[in-house]
Amino acid sequence: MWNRGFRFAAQRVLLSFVAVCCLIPMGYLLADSVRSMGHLSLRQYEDILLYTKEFFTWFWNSVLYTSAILALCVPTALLAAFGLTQYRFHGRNGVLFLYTLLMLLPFQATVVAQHLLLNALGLLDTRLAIILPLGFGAFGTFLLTQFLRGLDRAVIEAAQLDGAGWFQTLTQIIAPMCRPAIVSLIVLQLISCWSMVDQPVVFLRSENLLPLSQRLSGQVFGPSAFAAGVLYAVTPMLVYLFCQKALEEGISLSSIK
Amino acid sequence: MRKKAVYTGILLVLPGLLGLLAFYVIPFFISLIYTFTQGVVERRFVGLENFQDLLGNTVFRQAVGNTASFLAVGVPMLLLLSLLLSVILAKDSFSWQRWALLLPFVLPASSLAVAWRSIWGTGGAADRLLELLGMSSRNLLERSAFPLLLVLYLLRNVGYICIILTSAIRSLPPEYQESYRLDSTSESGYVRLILVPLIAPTLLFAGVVSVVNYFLLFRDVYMIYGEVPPKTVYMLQHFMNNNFYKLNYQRLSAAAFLLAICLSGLVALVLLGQRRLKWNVE
Repeated sequence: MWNRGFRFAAQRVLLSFVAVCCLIPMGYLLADSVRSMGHLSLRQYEDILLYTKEFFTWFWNSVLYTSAILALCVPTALLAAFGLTQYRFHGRNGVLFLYTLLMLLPFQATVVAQHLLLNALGLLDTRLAIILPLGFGAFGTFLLTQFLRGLDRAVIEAAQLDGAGWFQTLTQIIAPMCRPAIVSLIVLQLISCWSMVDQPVVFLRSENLLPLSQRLSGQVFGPSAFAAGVLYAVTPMLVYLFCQKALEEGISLSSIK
Repeated sequence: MRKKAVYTGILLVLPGLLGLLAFYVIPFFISLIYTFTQGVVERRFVGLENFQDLLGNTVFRQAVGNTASFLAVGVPMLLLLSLLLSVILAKDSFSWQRWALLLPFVLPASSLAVAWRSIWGTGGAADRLLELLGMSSRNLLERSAFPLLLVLYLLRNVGYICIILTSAIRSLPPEYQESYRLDSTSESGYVRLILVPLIAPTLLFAGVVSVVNYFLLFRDVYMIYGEVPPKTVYMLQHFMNNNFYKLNYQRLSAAAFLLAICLSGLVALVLLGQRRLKWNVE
């Protein structure tokens, strides 16, 4: 018995140690952001918020990209997941496999194809070059399909027996049932869009189109980089603070067991 | 009625699917033209020449070598660490630890990079610590780029993989552990002999996610080192970016083709393999 208690204590220590390691980068960033020339001060924040106009341009770009991608991804994903789980048609399994595969393929594997297409459409170096490919990404549909599969079909069948059409079924039954999964999707997409670097590096040239996530490198913000880093991390941190559960559910939902 | 339902289903899937086909699948097949041809005005079929050129390229080899050695070390380390922590996490609620573990996943690469440079860069926290210990300060960020990136990879992904594994462990019926306890008190025995085989499909999937997430690490490398990273952490994406600047589409699409084929093969294998694993357990 004593032995088991001791073992559990040791495990707790190990777990806490790794957890503390995970806190160090953010803690260090915070500590550095309230120091200026070796003194405690808010100079960096002042500098960024009052005297650096570009910070807001790039920050606004990040907001714009993230919200446009979400606005495109959530409705199309919901429709597709509804169609894939509630209707049987030829090629359904093939489509499901395609979504699973494309969800797992990293950007690098499809970057050339995307670049060729965007070039042909004349969309390179425009906002749409970021929004369209990411908005049509496979992840949203995959996640909602996983969720809808686990739902009880009886409710839906009952609604359809009562004469509900697909639109009614979708808006009055499926969408409310999917709420937790949609929140998870929004949280996960937001976190990943907020730190996009790969896409703007390849598809954008103009400085005024870049999201802040790509501008924090190098010496752009000089000695105030720490405050800029903290300010940029505020959005996903807030989302994480308030939606930890939705995020964790989204992650376990997106794994195939 | 049935026929109508089929059309409704297809129509619902169509908006998303058309976008997916238009931006991912069809361009991929069009890019194959570049993969097997040479010349800009007059295209001629060259078979595997572009691949020969690619495989002979020393920079490409460097990038592939880096990827292979990183995956060979990083993925097993990540899975082992996550498995160990998940076994512990499944026993209690551990609320602050759970929160902290996922924090690096949530942070934007850009913010994390600022902190990383300040910790490991010249004159940073690590340097000062080394000086205190009486060692000369050294440029850790450049000279130990590979092991540092490994640490970053573990930090960034351990929380994510732990969530996947913990939910699999929690879904196991408690009787398994209780009946094992009757025979033995060894916890490592339980984990090795009972738990791991039972969650094998999830572990396999977690392995795929770990491989895929290595490629996401480009964000961090780019934000930390800029366009020209130290040789040991030069990634495939750097190679591709270079060739975008040089407009060398033949080499680019050959590289992307190889990557897409290798990864699709891996994913397909795992998805099919998982089905078999499940059969065995049930």
